[in-house]
Amino acid sequence: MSTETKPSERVTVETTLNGTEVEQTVPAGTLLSAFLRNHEYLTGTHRGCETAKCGACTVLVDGDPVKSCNMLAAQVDGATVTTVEGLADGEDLHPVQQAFWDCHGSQCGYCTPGFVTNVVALLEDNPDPSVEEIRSHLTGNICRCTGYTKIIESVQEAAARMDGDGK
Amino acid sequence: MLIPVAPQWETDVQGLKYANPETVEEACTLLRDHGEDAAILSGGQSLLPMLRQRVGSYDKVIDINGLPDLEYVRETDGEIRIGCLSRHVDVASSSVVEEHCPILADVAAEIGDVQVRNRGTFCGAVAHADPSGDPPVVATLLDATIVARNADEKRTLSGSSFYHGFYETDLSKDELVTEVRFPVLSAGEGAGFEKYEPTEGAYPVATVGAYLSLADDGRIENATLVTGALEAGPTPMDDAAEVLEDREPTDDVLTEAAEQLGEDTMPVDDFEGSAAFKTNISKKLAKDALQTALDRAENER
Repeated sequence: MSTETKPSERVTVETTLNGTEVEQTVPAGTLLSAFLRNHEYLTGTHRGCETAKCGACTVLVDGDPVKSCNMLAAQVDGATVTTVEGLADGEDLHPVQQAFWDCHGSQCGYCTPGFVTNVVALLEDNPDPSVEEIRSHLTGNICRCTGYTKIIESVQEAAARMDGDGK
Repeated sequence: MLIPVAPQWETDVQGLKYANPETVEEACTLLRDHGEDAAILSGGQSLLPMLRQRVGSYDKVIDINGLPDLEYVRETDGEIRIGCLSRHVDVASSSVVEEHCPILADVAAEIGDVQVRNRGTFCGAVAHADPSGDPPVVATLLDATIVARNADEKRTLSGSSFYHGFYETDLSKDELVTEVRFPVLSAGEGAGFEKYEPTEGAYPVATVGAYLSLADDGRIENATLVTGALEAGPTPMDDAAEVLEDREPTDDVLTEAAEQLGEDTMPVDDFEGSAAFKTNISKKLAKDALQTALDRAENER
């Protein structure tokens, strides 16, 4: 995006989204979550509370988990964005997704994309987290179904399967 | 592709204008020209909810994330200097902070959740002046130096007198905080911070920061106590601090100061707790913060 020396109502966003270069011109007030869902049709990123509390809209920006309802799309210009759609390798689920599947880490599934993306980032930084570390890392993600027990088990299972190599 | 989408009005901050300057000078020029209705976007973790709820009168944002060389946490001339684009996660994991002013890491590591800490900036939180914010408490407690620039000049502001109630600071609308400096705590000095939050990651209901310096004979030379979230922003508790001065740092003395702090604070009843509850919790927080400050002051000796 060229530098806007005057405040502008439309912005051009160029970003690497799930490994693909995309470019879109959108209203400046477009949130990242809206950009992903309404402009890129990636509806795996869920909008929950819309107040940056529930974490359902978590995506990775340059590898860091962030809440996409609490960022403007303009802010990812030049960045790399990974959504839940970008985790699987073709038909093979990411080990974190597979572990959530196998351990029943999701019930209604609404919060799951946010948890999964956040857990991917956790295991990259910390391949063998303790339960306390998992809980602490996931305080920004709310699940109203599982009571979290199965989610914690999923993370532990994913960590064991990934065996510290990040894959 | 025919996929039903939510109407634009549901998702967008309607009519928002956006600028992303590439230099501090450009940012300051934009602030001079648009400061009255423009907000500075750094981490955006407090700003975006405000924009979405139409709190405040902003219809423009000036995104400073593209400004060069403002992401650093380093020690220079006896001060820890934090650039305005350093995130909470950077402060929490800084070895310089851990060595010279660990209270900053205590504060930064407990703000919001990991998603918020990845985006939110420490200097942004200092400047934003949320009455429940934690960085303002520590900026007041340690009398941080706040470096602000406008299109014409750069000036430094004192953290201990920076805040004036709800979201009010000494900053002008055309000013950009480029750096916040905290003192390196030397031997015999220590600081601690405690907060009560109803759920992890929520805004705190009560916070207390404590600073102590010890004289050579082990007595308390200087003490500072500041509360946050209980009143309209960081509130120095001078009478409670005075209890400590020139006394042996015994458990009883720390308790006496903590009790005094509780008596002096003036919280209000609200949905998060009664005034009496907040008073009681502030005593406990003060005692714990003082104990941490004392332990650090003694270990540094």
